[in-house]
Formats: sequence, C-alpha cells, structure tokens
Amino acid sequence: MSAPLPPELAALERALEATRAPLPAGLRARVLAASAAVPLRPRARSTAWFAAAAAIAAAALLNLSNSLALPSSEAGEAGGAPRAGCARALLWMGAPAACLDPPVANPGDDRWNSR
Amino acid sequence: MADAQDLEAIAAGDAAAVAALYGALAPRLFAFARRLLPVQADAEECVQEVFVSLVERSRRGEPVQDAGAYLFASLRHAVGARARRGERLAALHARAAPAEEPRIEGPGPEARALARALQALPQEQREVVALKVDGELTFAEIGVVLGVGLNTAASRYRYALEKLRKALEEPAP
Repeated sequence: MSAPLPPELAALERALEATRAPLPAGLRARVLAASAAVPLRPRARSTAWFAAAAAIAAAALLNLSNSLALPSSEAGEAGGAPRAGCARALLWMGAPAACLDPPVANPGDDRWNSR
Repeated sequence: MADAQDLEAIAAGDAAAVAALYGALAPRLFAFARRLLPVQADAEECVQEVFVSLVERSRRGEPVQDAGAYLFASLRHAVGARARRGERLAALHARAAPAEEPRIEGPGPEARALARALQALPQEQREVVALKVDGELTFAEIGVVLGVGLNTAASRYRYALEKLRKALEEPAP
C-alpha cells in the first residue's frame, strides 16, 4: 500500500487524467475486423494429422521390431552373443556395447566352462 | 479483466467475446499508447496489433493467464518499438529541417506544458505515469507489466510527479 499523494501532486494527477486521450470511434471496427480475420485453430485437421503420424510411427516400430526379433534359442538359452546383424541393430538402438559381449566365464562355475 | 471463459470463447472464434474484451480494455490501452506516442495513428496501430496478437495466441492454443496484463505488457513493447522508430525518423527530419519544433498536441497551454514536461521525463517514469493515469492500473499491476516490484513502481510514479511539478513551476523558455 503506497502513501497518499500530497495535495499538489494529487492535483497534478487530476490534471493528467483530464488530458487522457479518448478512444477513436473507428478503431473498434478495425480491431474486430482484424480479429475476425485470424484463422481458427484447425482442431479436426490437426487431430487427423496426429493420428496419421502415430499410425505411421507405430507401423515403422513394428517393422523394426520384426526385423530385429531374435529367436529365443539363439539369443537366450545358449547364453552367447547375439548374431552380428542383430548386435549391430541393438548398438544402433543405443544398447551399451558391454551388453552384447559374450558372458564372462566364472572360474568357479562349471556351467559356463563346460561349453 | 477477461477470465478463462472469455479467452476460450475468443479462441473458438466468438466475435462478441472479442468485442467485450475490447470494450473493457481498449479505452485504457489506447490512452496509455497515445500518451507515449506523438502520432495518433501509431497508437491506434499498436492497440490493434496487441488485440490481434492476443486473438492469434488464443487460437493457437497458447493460454494467457491474464488478458489485461498480457495486453498492457505487449502494448508497452509495441509502443516502445514504435517510439524508437519515430525518434529515428524525427532525428532524420531534424537534420533535414533543424528549425522545426516538435508538435505537441493538447487543448490548451497548460495541457501542452504538461505534455512537454512529460516528454522530458525518463522513459521508465513516463511509462509508469501512463500506466497509472491512463491505464488505471494499480501499482501491483504496473509492477507485473514492467517486471518490477510494487514499491519500485510506486516510487517511480512519485518521482515522476515531483519532476513534473518542478518542471511546470519553472518559467517557460
């Protein structure tokens, strides 16, 4: 809250208020016309666009995942490294290189050394 | 001040909502712009520009929290840019015709003296005077528009009035 103005400054404030410019009559029509010319947001079109983009992205991902699918017998059960082509693809997808190394044999574990 | 429903109506293309917002804010916005710009057409263009900018923003789906604060802040920038352009043009004209006096509009000698004294104020003080007197904003609202604290806005206004009073007491050159 600011302190009230002394009388001489309050009089000056009133003098300023008395010289306030009036709103020109023609401005309203110009502003309303310019506002009416602004295009509406194309909701329907943008929704359709996003739906199409999502469908394309989903199809691309599905295609990619199909091409990268590892047969479980090769990738998991044997415990070996993925095939070279798949390894490249996994690296391309951002998998750390260490994840693709063959398992390190545990000296005390015959399950690894027996192969 | 416009609430969220008004802005949604504007976004949906409701011309009546734009007209209502114009009716509520345009007189104060125009008075503010006109106080700071010497040419009426420039003030009109600035007001039109900020209203259209608000409508465009609403229709792009970019929410505005407070239409009044947005309009005054945008108008302040628009007026500042227009004033700088006008000053550059005036400087060019002054070089071409140095004897020409700047034209200050007003109904009488007191109003002209007041306008001249106001023009002599620093820009930041002139803005605060225009926002308070013509924009009819509170110091808190002025603080939001200018990005300063309430006390800074209030003290700038008081300093500005003091300077105006001193300038008006001095004999005219």
